[in-house]
Amino acid sequence: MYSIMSEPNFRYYLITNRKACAPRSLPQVVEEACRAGIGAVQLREKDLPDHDLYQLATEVREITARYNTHLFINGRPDIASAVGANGMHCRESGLSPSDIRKHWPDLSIGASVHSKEAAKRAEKEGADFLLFGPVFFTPSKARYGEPQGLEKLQAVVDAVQLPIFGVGGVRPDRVEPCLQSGAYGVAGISSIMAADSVRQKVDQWKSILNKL
Amino acid sequence: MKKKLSGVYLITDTQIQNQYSHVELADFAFKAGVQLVQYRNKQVSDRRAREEIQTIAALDSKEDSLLIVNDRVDLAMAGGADGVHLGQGDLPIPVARELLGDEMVIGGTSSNLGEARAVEEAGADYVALGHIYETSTKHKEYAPRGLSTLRQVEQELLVPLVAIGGITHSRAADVIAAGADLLAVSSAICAAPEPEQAARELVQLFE
Repeated sequence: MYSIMSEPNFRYYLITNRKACAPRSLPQVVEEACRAGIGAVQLREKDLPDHDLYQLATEVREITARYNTHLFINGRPDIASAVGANGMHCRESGLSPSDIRKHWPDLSIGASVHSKEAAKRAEKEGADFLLFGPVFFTPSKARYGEPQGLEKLQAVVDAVQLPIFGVGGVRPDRVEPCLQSGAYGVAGISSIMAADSVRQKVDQWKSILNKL
Repeated sequence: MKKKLSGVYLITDTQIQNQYSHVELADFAFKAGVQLVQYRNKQVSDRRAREEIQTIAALDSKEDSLLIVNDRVDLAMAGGADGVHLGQGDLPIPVARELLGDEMVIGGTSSNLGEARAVEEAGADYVALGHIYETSTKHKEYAPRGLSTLRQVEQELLVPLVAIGGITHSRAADVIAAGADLLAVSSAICAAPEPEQAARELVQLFE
């Protein structure tokens, strides 16, 4: 775990989607990714009932802990705390980073932002790093309109001190422009979740980012 | 120290009516002497829910009454509520207890004696049993439990028993007589022409 002032020790932030893993189970894909060296996983299964989410989080914590992979739980500091996750990932409309700091001080805090203003707010509220997107077109976010693009990514990078991960349609060939725009790292769901070979895909990200 | 729970238990609802907000309903209830208000709102963002919970927790009318949040331990903690109500599909009660500590109130839902026993053994401060009568507030997949189940559960449990489901002013006295420590209502107060007066009438049954 890192403190509020230090940088994340990962450059690729893997976001889960158990539906994209099928027919493999989510724990199975997470384990393959961890074994291949992934540094951070965000469990994001928003449609699960709490009881099921808690059980899945317990299982994923057990796996990630074995590989020293950081685990973040989307939206639920109570579940993050209960399973001993490293952190919690805040949604823009969810509990604020300041709420998390106050009640769950042991949790690191990632926060999703979709504008420069939201990025500044999240920084002020105490987030440790930010996810900004969608940078490129991605079917899962198409209903929210046009992608944000690299210029807006750059504007967010310039507006805050926090490390920014670009998310949304970030393929391996689009990493370099993201880094050029000042991104600290990148995040993704389907690239690894839906990969035929999780290990090969993780290796590819590793070679592009120099580090996972 | 937790005091013995007894009296009226309001579950706020802005879908069966939209004249009053959750905050207004809670305020009416506290003014009328309702002992427990459960904030139940699945329609808004977590950020908004947390704000509403904090607003209700700070109402002058609240005094010694308790504010319980439906389903969500995190919102209860962040909003400064007194506890949480957990259904069968929510976080396990022992997990919630670990997060909330002994001072916060945890209640659990049951629909029969076996579940009621399990909820009590898991460490709940009260057990809700329902639905006692037909109710339109929540869709149910099983038949009403009736007063006979309530009597049976009441004899077995040590923690306060909350009767829920279809409780109206005309049925309230029977439910209390059958052994309920608390009457949980939603429509009977939220959808009443004068919610505060409706709450007061239920509260008076316990005096």
